[in-house]
Amino acid sequence: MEPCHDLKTERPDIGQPLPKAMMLIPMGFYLILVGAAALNTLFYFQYRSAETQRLHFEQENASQEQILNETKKRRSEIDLEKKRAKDLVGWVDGSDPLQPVVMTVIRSMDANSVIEELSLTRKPDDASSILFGLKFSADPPQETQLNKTLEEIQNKHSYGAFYKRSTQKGDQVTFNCELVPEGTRGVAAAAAQ
Amino acid sequence: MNNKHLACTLIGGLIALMLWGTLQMFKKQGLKVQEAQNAKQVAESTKVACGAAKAALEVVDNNSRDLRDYLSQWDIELRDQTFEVAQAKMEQQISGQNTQLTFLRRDTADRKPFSKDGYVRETVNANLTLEDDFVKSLAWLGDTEATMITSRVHSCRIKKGQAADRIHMEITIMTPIVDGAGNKKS
Repeated sequence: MEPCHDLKTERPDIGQPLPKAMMLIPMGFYLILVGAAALNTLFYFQYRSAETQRLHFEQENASQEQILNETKKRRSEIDLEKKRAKDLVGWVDGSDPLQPVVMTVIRSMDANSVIEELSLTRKPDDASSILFGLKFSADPPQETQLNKTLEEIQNKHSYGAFYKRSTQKGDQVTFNCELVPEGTRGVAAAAAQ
Repeated sequence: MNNKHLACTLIGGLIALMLWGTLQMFKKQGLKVQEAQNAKQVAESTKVACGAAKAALEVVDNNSRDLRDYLSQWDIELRDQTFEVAQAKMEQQISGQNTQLTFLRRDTADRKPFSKDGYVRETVNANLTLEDDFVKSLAWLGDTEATMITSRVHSCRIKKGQAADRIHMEITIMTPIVDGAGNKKS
């Protein structure tokens, strides 16, 4: 019995062969496979590096923001302290003793001058200024006595007299003015430095 | 379409897929780099702002140090000065051993608002009227102003008294109650 090992006989191609150019497709496939792997690896590392940098900068930004917030907080604390200190300076500056001024007024009076009433009131909006009122009787001309008193107040206590008003009835004079400190002095001067 | 065509189409599809994937990866990487650059810019601008704020703080700190030292010196005493303490001080000044003046009026409990948002929030006003010896009365006024260093004489009105050597004096003395008085400083 003859061996039956060649059952498949030669047959002609049924379909048309592919054009020669189509041989580039598998070559292109391998090339692109290698290229894509290389590029993806490169892009991946760049991506990781950018991500690390982003996290680093975000962390740095957060720490800088924390420092900035602390600085702002400290600044507002200092500003508040400064405002309080200025308020205190305003208070102390408006607390100059009045008794020496009273004594000066009394001592400035001539022998024939008599004080009927003397009033000193601090201005509500500016305590360093004083609303001064003096009712007195003196020998004419009464202006001499008044000028002497105001001059002594100015020389001894550096208060200038402003907004002067006076009325006279017989030998009695009612005088009002505002005593304003000349220049900055005391604590206000120190604070201004 | 035979098998060869089918295989080519399949490989072509795979090639397109790989190109698309690579392009996507490239875009993703580009976005990440952009994000990193943005984060860097933000961090740098915050650093600049932080440096400027620090420099400004240093200037303000140095310029206001004397003023704030002045406040801290007074603050110790003023923080302890509550309404009760201020009133007690005033009472002591009026009824002290060296004071033997005739007071016609002595109201030491007149509490008045002073400044809503300032350091001195309220004042305790002592409204006093006295009629006594001229020298003694004025000496007392001077002593009060020297002793009660945180207080201020707000107004003083002097008239002739009943007798020749006596004066009639109406005074208002304000004692400050500061913001946070009665609280220990932390």
